Amino acid sequence: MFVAVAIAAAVLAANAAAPIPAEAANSIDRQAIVDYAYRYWHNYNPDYRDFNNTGSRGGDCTNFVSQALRAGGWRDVWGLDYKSTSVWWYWKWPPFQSWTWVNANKFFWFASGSGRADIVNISADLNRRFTLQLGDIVQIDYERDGEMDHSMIVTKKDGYDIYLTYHTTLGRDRQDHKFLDIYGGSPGAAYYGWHLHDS
Amino acid sequence: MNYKKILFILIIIFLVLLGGVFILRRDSSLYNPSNLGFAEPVGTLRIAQNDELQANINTFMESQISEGALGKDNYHCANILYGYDDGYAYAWVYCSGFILKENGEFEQGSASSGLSRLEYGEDFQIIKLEPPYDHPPGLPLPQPLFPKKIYDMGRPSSAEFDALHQEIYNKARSASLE
Repeated sequence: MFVAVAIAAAVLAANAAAPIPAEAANSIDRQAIVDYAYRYWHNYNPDYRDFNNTGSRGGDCTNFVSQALRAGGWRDVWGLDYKSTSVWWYWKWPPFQSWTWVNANKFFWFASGSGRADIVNISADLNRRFTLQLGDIVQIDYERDGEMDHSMIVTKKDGYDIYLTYHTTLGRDRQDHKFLDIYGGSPGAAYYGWHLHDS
Repeated sequence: MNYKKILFILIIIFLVLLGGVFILRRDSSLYNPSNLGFAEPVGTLRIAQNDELQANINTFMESQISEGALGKDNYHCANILYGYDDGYAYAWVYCSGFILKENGEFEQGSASSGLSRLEYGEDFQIIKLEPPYDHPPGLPLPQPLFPKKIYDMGRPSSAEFDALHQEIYNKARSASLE
């Protein structure tokens, strides 16, 4: 019995999420999201799996976004159906996660149904990017086929643009990359923002 | 509690773990590095240092700074040369802009870090970075870029990355004093 309890306790301890500050427990701490992005844009957090350079769409980008959102106060939504778009969780050991945690398109549908964020159709009006705040998320559908390909975090704003931090399949993680530069590279793509609810 | 109950609990735990491993193995094919494929080196692949090539990589990458980058007026690069063949250099390249604040401290601006393949010509002069620098982030590469031996060398350790950061920070500091 002792062995069984010890194993269960060890697994649960290994999977305990990073403590969320009391003041952020029921609200979004945008600065915590930005701080997390800056801390781990190049220095991958060993507490999570690394999906970079995997050849899959989006690589590590959505995994990185999910980690930052959790650091900012988003709580895991547990469910056994890890493919479902109504769950969003990460299990540390043995390492596993819902598909919404790591897949850009699945994350899109989770966010849309979660009640945690409002969608901002940037493609319809580029000026809408200014409504995004620090810690909000930007996603790209390059082929406009309705499948999201990439996810990024808004980490800086100035009078003219927003800057984004992200992980990519290229192994070229960029910090504070300007939205208009990314847009200029793929003007035919569809761009969506997720404006996080503050509480 | 008798041994039968303990055995039953242990079996349940074992089955749960076994199920987890099964799911992991099945889903890992979705995120399998081998999906990317590997490039064949051009001629002989040398896992060796080349100071000239390393310096030329930094000079070339510093010229690729985006107009929209933060700290573009004080933008520097450093790299770890993993190796080179007869056509390409393979290096982990780290570049960053720095913004000099009024209090004399630097704030980090736009930055990039990653494994890069750079085509070189005579005298190890860099001709271009592959893929194009503006390749859409998040999209799979159009073709494999790295020989397996290079790819397997992986990401720099934290200490190596800190050394790269210190190198470009020192460059930024020196440039600001000129």
